[in-house]
Amino acid sequence: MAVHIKLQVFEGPMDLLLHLINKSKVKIEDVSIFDITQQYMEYLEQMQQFDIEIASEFLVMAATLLHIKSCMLLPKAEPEVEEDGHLLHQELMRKLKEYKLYKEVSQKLQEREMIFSKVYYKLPEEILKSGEESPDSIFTGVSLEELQKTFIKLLSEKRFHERAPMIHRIERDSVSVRDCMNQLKDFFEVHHEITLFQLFEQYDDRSDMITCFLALLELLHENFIELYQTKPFDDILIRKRKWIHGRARDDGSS
Amino acid sequence: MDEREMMAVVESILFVSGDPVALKDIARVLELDLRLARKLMERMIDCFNFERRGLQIIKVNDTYQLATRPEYSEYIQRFVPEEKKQGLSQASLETLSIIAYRQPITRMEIDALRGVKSDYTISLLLERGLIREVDRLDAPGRPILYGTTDLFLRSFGLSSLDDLPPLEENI
Repeated sequence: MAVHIKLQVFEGPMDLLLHLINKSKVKIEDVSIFDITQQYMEYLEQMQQFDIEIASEFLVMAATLLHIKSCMLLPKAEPEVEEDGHLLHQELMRKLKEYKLYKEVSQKLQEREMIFSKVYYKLPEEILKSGEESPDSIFTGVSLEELQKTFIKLLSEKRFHERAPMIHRIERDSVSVRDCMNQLKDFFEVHHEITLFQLFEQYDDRSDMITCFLALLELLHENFIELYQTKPFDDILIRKRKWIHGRARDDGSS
Repeated sequence: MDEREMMAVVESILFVSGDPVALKDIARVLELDLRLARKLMERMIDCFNFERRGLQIIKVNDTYQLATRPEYSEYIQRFVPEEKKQGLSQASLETLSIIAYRQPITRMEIDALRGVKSDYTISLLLERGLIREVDRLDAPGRPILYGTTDLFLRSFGLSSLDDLPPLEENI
């Protein structure tokens, strides 16, 4: 059977305490710790009755309230305990007041948000700055998917099926990505450009090929090389990027 | 160039930009010093308001941007019916207020003030671009310090943090 009782949702124990204090229409500094503790505990009980999971923060606050209350109940003969309770009480009240400030101001901000969410802006005009290369031209029509497709095609063409042992052995890379990058850089010192297929023809080991591909991506990232195609589905050409040459060279990989 | 002409130039620049334009860029284009440029912009904002134009110039931290006026949003809605925008939740607003007034502030301090964990709310606010990581506190763990962004100011119609409604403090 469904029970239709609306239990106000609170952001946290501070929110709940503030609500209880507001309900009893007293100032924060005049709040009776006994009354407020009782109301607080009653609320938690209600939550339990409705099977609402009580967040641990609410329990911490309950413990704090009970601690303060118990300190105050003890005979005056224990000045330390009383002092302790007093300090905790003060601290809690101070926190509550501060929380109340932000809670109130957040309502003001909410009103402002409602108004200013009705303001519209315009997107910038797309004007290519003079002397600036269009970001598209880095890939000049080569999409990442195409690059990936080509690579998969290469892998399948090479057919390394004969090297599929039952037990996988992880072997140390014969060439590291770093080495491969340097090799490629050296290559481009001499050669102007190379197609992706030509480049991979030199490799017959699958893992070396992957290393080379990673090195290629790294170099692309460093802006050392650029990829382009003369027409769709044509071989992807790799060439050295000229204009950023100096910077790309002394820039290490990240 | 007279003032009218300069305003016309700025208006066209603001239109092209769409995004906020820095005062120094306006000054550069008009070959004015910053003080004169700022004066011009103030006059321009007044002009737009006085003439009750459909557009207004919004100033946020020495940047200027063209925007529609909220008063006419109803008609924009008629023109293009828009899905209702989701406002910020209570928890988000609370956290955002604390960050706005107490920045730079760590997550721990926010948690202490609210009495609840705020990591989720903070990540939401970061995602919406209303707050950002400003710095790290020089303390064990080097906790992140959060602060508000210009987008926060714009979203709440504030020119700068000085425009925040005063906290009614009576502690």
